[in-house]
Amino acid sequence: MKKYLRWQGLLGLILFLALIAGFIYVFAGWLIKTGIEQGGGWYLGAEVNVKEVNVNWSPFTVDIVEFQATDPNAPEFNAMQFKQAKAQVNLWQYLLGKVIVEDLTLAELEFGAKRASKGDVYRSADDGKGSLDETVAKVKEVELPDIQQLLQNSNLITVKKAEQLEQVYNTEKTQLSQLKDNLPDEQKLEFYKQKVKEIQDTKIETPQDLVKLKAQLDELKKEIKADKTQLSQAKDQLKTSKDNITLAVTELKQAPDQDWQAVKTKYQLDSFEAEDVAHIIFGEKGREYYNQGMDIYQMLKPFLQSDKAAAEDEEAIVDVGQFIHFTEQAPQPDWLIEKGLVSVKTAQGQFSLNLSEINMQHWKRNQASLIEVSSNQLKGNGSISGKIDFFKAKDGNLLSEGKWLLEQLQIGQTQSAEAGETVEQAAQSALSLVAAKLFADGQFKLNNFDIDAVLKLNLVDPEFITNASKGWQQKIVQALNDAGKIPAEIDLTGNVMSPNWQLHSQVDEIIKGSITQQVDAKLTEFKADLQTKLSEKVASSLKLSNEQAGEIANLDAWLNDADGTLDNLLNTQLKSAVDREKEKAKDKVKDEVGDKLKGLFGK
Amino acid sequence: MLTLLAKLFIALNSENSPKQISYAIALGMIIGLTPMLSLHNLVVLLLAFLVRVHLGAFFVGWTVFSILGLLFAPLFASLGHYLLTMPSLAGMWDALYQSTFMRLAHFHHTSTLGSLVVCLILFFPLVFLLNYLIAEYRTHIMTYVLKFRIVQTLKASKIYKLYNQLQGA
Repeated sequence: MKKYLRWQGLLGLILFLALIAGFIYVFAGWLIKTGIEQGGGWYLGAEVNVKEVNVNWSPFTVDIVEFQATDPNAPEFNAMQFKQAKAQVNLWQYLLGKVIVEDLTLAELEFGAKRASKGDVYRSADDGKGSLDETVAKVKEVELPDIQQLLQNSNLITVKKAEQLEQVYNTEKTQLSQLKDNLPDEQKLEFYKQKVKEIQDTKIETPQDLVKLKAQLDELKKEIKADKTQLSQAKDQLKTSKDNITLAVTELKQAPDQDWQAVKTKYQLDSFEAEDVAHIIFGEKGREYYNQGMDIYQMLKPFLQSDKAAAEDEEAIVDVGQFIHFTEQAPQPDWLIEKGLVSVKTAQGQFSLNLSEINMQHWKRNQASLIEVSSNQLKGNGSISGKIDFFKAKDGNLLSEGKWLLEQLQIGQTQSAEAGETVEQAAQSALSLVAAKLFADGQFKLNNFDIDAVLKLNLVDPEFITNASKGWQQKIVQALNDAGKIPAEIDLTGNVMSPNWQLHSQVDEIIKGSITQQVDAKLTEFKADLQTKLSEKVASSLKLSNEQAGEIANLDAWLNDADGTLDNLLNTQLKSAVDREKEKAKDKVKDEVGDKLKGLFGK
Repeated sequence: MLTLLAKLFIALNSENSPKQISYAIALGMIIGLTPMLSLHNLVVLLLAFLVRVHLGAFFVGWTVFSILGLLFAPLFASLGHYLLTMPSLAGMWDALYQSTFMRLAHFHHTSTLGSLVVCLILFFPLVFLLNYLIAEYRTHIMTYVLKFRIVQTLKASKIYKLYNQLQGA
């Protein structure tokens, strides 16, 4: 046996293992601290600090003191921090591959707190925020434009159309002038009349006279027909010109309305609705909380994801491997917080959260997670109480319900002051809520990430301030301050990751009932002023157009007269003169033939 | 690296039988390729220290296969996942899962199971291969190598003698 075994080797092994165990025992705290700082830094992309980690072996408890995780988007702030976290972990289950926290105490959990010194950022995170602020800023910056400045704006359709009318008229006038030069004038018409008269008075003595007269007649007809063709062309051109000018005039007449629509859109004269004011009051804050919630969700997402999602991440896990769990007699989830107490510190005060059965594999123990929120230390003697439970089925369906009640929370001035913003600074904004008491109650139901939530809010004794110079904006603020209380209701429906917001507020009524009329009156006055000025521009162009239209009408009349005169000469006078000459010639021939017959047959 | 080569050289040129060296390297392979903090590695360590295998060769094997283990980790995890999710083996895993030992040994962890299965399959082929290679080395190459001045200097050093004594050779 001694040939194959060396018993002193066993001693060596025991010493070797004791050395490892001793190292772990002594340096466990340091190892966990380093693991959290390095791993957390890698995961968040920013510096993570832990003051110290204490490990107690029986029962196995990890005590993390002063944890701070830098916000990669704003390194001077912490994304999350807490004063102390104490977790009693089931070591046996941990060795079996499960993290079962039997008792958790998390003290002074805080989001967005300022750091003592700026944290290191290892990789920049996608921002994706700020659009809301920009939108609000746009809504707030409602200023009516200066009319004179507007009229000088060459982009106005009215100005363009007036110029176009003038241009069209000049073009048409040139063309008509060229035609007019070639038209028969009064003298020429008199000349034609004279010629016709001469033809009528001509005495035909011989057949040669008749031939000569015919030649004269043909020549005159040819000349008159040529002039008639010119007149016909002139009439066509005149019709085209009239059509072009009419179109330009019509467009000019429509231009002021088009300009008004453009001005309204450009200067958002329609967009400053009561709803926007409501969003400024409630929506901005609500969305801020929502965004904060989403940030926390993103941090916790790896722990909350479904088995299906975990399967999609299999490729990432493949390097380090993963535990595959099978049916157990007493199944346990992969991770579980059996009970916990978390105190959360926010600008509004301190909350406490009682946790029970927190995990994401509820079907294993067939118990829902429960979170109870409570506080009576909120600003202004405010209090909150609420309850949220959730249960995730094996097929991934998440069911959740919750309701809460918030009373007498002081918001506004105190909040701004804490954030380092003075009332004067707040007044730099177009509209700021300085102080109010907030009452709220709400409930929600979540079914497989489809949310249906209602949040009823009531602002009592609101005090708004504004730096707006316009009287009507100040009156809006005054009306809000006089309201006494402003109720609102926020409805959230649809997918929890991108819910549809609907905000109903009595702010709408307050503003519509008292101030909107004044706003409307101002707008109406502005519209009238602008349209008067635009109409003047149109009128001056149209006046010019009327004078020119008179000239065109005269030309039209002259063309018609001349055409009629020529028709008369051609069709009546000239024809009758020719007929008469023909009759004369016929009679004369008859007489000559009669004389010759008498000579032949006697008297 | 030099220490590692020296250990290997000492092992190859010592009076130890080839089996002592090859089993030591094969045990080093198990501990090197599988995740270190596993229950089965405690058994491997116990065997390495208790049975008269060449400890130097064991640590050489451990180091070399640890490096190889990093390269093949994804492959082991895939194999483990394949085995643990194979429908025909589901009944067996379910039954074994009820045993605390299996869970404590992390045989339901993809990397642990995958790498251990590979090690168990390769264990005896590796032993036989190493036996053959060591025998061949000692017959054909060792005499030639021992003639090097550097080798003679090394063999004459106190460290070498002390190491041999510690090995219980």
